[in-house]
Amino acid sequence: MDIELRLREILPLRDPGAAFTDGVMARVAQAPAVSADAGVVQLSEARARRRSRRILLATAVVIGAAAAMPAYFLGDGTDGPGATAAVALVPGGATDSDPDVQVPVQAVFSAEPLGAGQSPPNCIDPDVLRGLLLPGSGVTFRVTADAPPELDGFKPPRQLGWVGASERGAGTMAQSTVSAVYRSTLTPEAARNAAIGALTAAGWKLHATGNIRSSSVFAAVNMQIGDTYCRDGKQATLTASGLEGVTWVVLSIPRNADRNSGLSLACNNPPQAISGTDSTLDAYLPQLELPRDPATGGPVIALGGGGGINSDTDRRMNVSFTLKDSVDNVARHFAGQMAQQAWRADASWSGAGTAGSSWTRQVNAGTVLLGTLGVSAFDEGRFTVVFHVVRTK
Amino acid sequence: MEPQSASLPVSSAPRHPPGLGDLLQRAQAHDRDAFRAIVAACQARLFSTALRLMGQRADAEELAQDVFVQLHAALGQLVDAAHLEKWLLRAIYHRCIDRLRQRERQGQAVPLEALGDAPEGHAPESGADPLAASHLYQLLMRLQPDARAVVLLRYQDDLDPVDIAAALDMPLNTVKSHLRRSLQWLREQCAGDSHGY
Repeated sequence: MDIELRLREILPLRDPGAAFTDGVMARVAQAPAVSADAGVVQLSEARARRRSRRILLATAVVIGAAAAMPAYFLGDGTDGPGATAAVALVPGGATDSDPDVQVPVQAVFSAEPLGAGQSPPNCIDPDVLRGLLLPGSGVTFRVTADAPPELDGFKPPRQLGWVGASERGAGTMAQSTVSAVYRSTLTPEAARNAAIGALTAAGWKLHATGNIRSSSVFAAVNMQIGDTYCRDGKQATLTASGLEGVTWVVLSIPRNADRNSGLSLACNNPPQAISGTDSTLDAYLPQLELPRDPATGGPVIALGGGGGINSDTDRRMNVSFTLKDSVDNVARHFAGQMAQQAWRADASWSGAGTAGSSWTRQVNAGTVLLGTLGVSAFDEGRFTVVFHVVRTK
Repeated sequence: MEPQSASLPVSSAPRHPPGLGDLLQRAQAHDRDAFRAIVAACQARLFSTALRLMGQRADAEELAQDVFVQLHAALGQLVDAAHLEKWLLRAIYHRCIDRLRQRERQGQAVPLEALGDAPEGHAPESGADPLAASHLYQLLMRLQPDARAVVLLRYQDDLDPVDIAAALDMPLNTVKSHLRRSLQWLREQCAGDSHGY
């Protein structure tokens, strides 16, 4: 008898039985309860591993929020609707900067009772941070336990627990960003409202809601566009994001931002200049969530991304992340979301290093949006995804 | 021979369960019954793969359950039934390989040669020569885990090489090479040769 036929005969499927199914369902039912209790979904097997991941995610939230403030680059004076609104999570151009300052970050763990036999790390290893979150970047990243002086008078409500502050780009860039981070068990919306109340009480005024949010296609937990508040020429951007059962509230404040640094504060521009986007196009942009990392069960962290408003009828958004998966799977992940958001598939392709698809969406009788979703795979599981959309009329 | 208890029935579940796409959509809408049905429909396939990669029922059950729990958290990213099946196979394969490597590092590797002699017995298929089936199973368990996974997906799950390559994140030529060399080695062994692959 042929060996292949014999192999088929000796390899029947074996059913582990109903007890196995019950065991899975019991574990699944247990997961949310643990999440609500501890503020963390138990996706990792070791507590120490979870804590490490939380440190990194919290740091990613800080970095992302700090970098995701609406920034209007003046460039050659082409401010206005035609200018590019860039959101750069990972600025390019590595520098020979001084080593990051290692500052104790015990505050990060203050709300987390340590398990038996565990001791808190003394600092966040800057090499780990740079390697995981800021690959190729020479931008410094400092963590401190002190609230930034720009927030004088800001009294956070008791539901917001102080975590710490970070300063990104200090000493190496003309303009840096300091972020104050709080954690809460409230929902993101409730935590955000609580923070708004405290900001308003401290004299901060809402300048603009995140209008760029409408043209943000890729949704990552560490890549949110927040609302902008102003006080005495200072600017603070508020974001609140839920992550594994914990809500992180981040207030990001640019420092040394003036025309010499090439960065213009939103607070120095009239609100209408900020919202100069085309609602006809932006209202129909898809919202695409980044994939989850099968290794951790959690969402991948955006390593960089941004977008450009080329004209009233043209948008281009991109995001980068690392994931151990095939380019085809990543493309399918996004394509599935496109289809769920009333976009109609036109064509698709898949190659060794790139995959993608093209889409259409009928807005009204005379207007069609044409979208192209392209995924490129680079070394070591790094992906860049670009979504380009144009309006035909 | 095959490490299993006598209480393990041969599954009557189809290899590509019908309605899996509908179940997936319902599970994504937080229908627990639908998720349970997905587990019930896919558990035989996942458990069988884990059992034959790990060689121990306890490990196989643990790892397969881990994968389903992980699946529950990842439901939102799955597009359709084919994606779900591929996701499950990839997850169980990587978990098993990770566990085997972990054992190897800790010096706890189960000698592959011993797996075929596990004491729990084997229920040979009707019509099959029990001795020949036992001998072939022992040979199969002596294949390296990567090669064994390829053979399992090919002859246990009826996947073609392209699908195996996708499921295991393995180049297609590597899959074909594993299949060709494994079959060649098994044929030689069944003919009396004793070299391993």
